[in-house]
Amino acid sequence: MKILAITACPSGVAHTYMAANALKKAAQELGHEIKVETQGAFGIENELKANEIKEAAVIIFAVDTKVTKEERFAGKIIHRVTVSEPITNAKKVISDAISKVV
Amino acid sequence: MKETFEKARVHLMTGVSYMIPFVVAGGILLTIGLLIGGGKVNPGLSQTLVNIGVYSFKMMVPIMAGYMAFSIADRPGIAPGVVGGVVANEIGAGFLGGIVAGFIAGWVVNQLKKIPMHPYVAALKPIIIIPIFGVGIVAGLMLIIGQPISAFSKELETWLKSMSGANLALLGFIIGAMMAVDMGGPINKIAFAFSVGMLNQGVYAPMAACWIGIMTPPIGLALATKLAPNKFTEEEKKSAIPALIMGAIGITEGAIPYAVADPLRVIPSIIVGSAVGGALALILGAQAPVPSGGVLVIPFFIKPFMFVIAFLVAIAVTGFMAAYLKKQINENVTAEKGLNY
Repeated sequence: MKILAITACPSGVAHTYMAANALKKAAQELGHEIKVETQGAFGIENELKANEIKEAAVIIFAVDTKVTKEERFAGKIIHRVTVSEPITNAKKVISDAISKVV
Repeated sequence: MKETFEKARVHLMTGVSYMIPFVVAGGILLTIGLLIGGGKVNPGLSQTLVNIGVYSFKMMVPIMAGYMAFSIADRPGIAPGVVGGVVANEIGAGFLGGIVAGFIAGWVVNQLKKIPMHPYVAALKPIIIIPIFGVGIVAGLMLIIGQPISAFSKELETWLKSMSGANLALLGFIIGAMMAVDMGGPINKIAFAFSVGMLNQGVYAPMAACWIGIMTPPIGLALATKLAPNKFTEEEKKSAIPALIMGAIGITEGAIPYAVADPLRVIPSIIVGSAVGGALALILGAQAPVPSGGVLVIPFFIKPFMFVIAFLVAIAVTGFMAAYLKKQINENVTAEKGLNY
């Protein structure tokens, strides 16, 4: 399944990237395709493109701050968690997100 | 209720995240200015750097309030939020006033957005109506409700600055413990936001305790893996160096893998170490004007040597306590559920 995710934390140096890595690793282990956009201290990195958003089944927001350019995801299924949830249990976050699709 | 709180937290944290660079720049430049001036403001470069630092500090509250409102009401929230923050600064309501200004601005702008308007003039709304009424209403409200906040802020400031002995130790103890308890989670962020806010009032002590609580957990646990290698899994031992580095640059989350694997023994160890270290740092008179940068910014602290002593004590307490509390492990069993991220 194609999953997209956005990670963001207040200081934008640690949590943001740890959550992104945790999600990538868990998605790989569970056999899903994932792309993670990070909204850290450098601003948006690895930006999700319009066609990717269109094709994605579900979008995970693992954020403690506002999602920048949230309007891109209008009408999509969104699973919203805090940024620390994927760090402690990324697989659960992904399976919860997927359970929203079906 | 929980959801409302959660949303409020996201708005506050969005504001804080945009504010942090201003605090870092302000804190470091101001300190360099003071160092050049030999501990005080001297004419020339010292004065110039201190001034720049102060300008940057002055932007803290307006930026925070502006981006809180941005988080609540999107783009049109920024102007009313920033001006609300400036008013909070002007009347001395400081950081607390800024938080109030941010929420008010976001709410007011969201209400203004709902005003029905004829399609012909609808374009006027974002460029004229919302800025004028948003800024006007928010600034007006802040001038009124900012007053009690200002009085409270000043009380708090005087109280914190006059703290000594047992009270000061207690403050350091609580901040240290809060920073460590959830390793970067909501409780940690509340203590952090408080300490950053106090920098704006010129109270630098809480931040010193904050730093102890930020850096001690991962470093103390890295030490524990060396003290009692047979009580940690191979993977945990291997992540000691990364944990050490994360701790040194100010990322408490480096402790999370250890805490997840054995919360009941690890979390008390990091809480006690950080709390004791925080209390000690404040008793020894350490203060920190900088909220970001890890060990690299310790030289910019006030009484950096005292800070280091407290920091080492905190690391030792956490390290020895975790090494003592942890149980001998059977690698095969624990490796399964050890690190799950």
